[in-house]
Amino acid sequence: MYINRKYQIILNILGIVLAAIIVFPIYTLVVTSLKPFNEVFNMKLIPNFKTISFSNYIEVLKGRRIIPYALNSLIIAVTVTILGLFFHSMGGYALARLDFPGKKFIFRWILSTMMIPFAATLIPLFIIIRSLGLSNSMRGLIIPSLPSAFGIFMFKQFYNSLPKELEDSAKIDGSSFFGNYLRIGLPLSQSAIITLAVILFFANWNSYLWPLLITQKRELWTIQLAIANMKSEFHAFKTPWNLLLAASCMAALPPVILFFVFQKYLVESIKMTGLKA
Amino acid sequence: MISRKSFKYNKISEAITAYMMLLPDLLGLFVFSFIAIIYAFHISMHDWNGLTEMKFIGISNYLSALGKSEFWISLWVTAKFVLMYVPAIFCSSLLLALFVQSIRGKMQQFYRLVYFLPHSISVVIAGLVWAFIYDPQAGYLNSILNMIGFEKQRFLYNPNQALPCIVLVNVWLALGFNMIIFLSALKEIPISYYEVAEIDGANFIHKFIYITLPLIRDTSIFIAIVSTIGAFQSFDVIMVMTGGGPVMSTTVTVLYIYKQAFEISKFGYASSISFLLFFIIMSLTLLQLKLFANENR
Repeated sequence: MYINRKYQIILNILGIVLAAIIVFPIYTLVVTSLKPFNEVFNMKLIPNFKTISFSNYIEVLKGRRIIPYALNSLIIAVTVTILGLFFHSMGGYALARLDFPGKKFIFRWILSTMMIPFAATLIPLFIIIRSLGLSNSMRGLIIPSLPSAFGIFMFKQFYNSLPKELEDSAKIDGSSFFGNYLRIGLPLSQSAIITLAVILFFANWNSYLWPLLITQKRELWTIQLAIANMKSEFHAFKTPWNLLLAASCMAALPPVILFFVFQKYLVESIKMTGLKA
Repeated sequence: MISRKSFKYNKISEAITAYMMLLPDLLGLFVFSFIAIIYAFHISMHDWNGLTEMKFIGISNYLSALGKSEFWISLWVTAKFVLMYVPAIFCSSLLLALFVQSIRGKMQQFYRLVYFLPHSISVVIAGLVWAFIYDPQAGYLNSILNMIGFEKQRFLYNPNQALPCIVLVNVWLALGFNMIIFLSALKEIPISYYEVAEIDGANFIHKFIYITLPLIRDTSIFIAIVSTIGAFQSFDVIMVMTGGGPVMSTTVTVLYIYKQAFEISKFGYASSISFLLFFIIMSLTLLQLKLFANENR
């Protein structure tokens, strides 16, 4: 294709403008979190560098408004990620590599559960968890997030793409089916593991609705709940945006770092989502 | 030599291993999806506050929902939300993907990364920052409007503006994700197709209509459907930003269900509406699939 150099320069100018617009809310988030309260609504694009400081962060941290809840979120997100990776890789491996009656039916059934809208199961899910005695507990926050049709699907696709000969040689040595998964399948699925780990951690660190429903006790609040509640807890008319956004910045940091480090994996996983079509 | 018996034994142990490996996820999906949806139907046939005994009342909940103006208003708000959100996310992510695709060299990676960045921001945080930008007194948007000579707007506090404002936040959050799906579809199209078209004298618009669009048809259908389903269920941004107000202007049906169930404990009534919504979503999905299938074929 013939590409005009001038044309590319114009495109790049447009690209930068678009980037500025899309990133603007994030820029606002960071800049406002560094301002003192009386300058929050000073809407100049470049802040006053003399008054900028991390004092909002220190104040939020001192008030114990972040760390206990961040710990809860960390425990939930890490547990769901590790257990989820184990469950979904096992399930995906079984569907891709093992032969058993009802395999096709089970796979279709798993995919069909993806069609059930979350909104339709919210109420029964709440009742089920409550009657199991799991509401207001860490387990109630973790267990419903574990099963994932997408996770199994992702690992199945991944194992299908691995050459089968790898296990054939092991079978002759008399290794068990589960042993093949542990010794051959799992170590080879690094890229799938990282991809799903990022997705699971993201989803659970950022989740809001389920924790809101299931936790009445303040000690169990996740970081998203803590931030959502902060606004109403502060003075109703004079929202301390600087503190609120400083807390938000800290809460956004882990996923943003993960985003930058693992964006290649995220992009690959999203492409896979599209391939389902 | 493998004897027949040990072969059979091997088959059985393979099957047992497979079932055991699938068990954790299957059990979870069975209880939290399959049983849950059946249970939802069961609850919807009862008068129940979630605590005392359930009272069977048949389809009364469904009838009372259909007779309530609140339900119809929420459905209308949902329809408006879907009709604004789906075309907006579809067009903007497609345009953005086309744009990124047309950039040459290293900058392409850079733009992809930057446009994708909002994906990492949670609904709660996005809701907060945007509420700050929309602030009716002195938010950024108002000061920009002020600068170019317009009057201050109340945005989230104005029943006519609140819903479009929320749609914009949803688009902002989902833009990068959808752009990447479109981008990967665009990359599949062989450049030679365009080169041949150029020799025939095709311009940019011709190329888009006769080459690009037909070849990303499946992806377009996928994004349209997934966005529609998502739009019908979306209420987290609304919860964070307006809580359904002002008046009922942002109370979408899912939020109405949520409030009926978890704020005033009308679990049976709320379940009946969630079932109605379930059918609406399913039938719309099928309709959309059919419509798309007829086109271009």
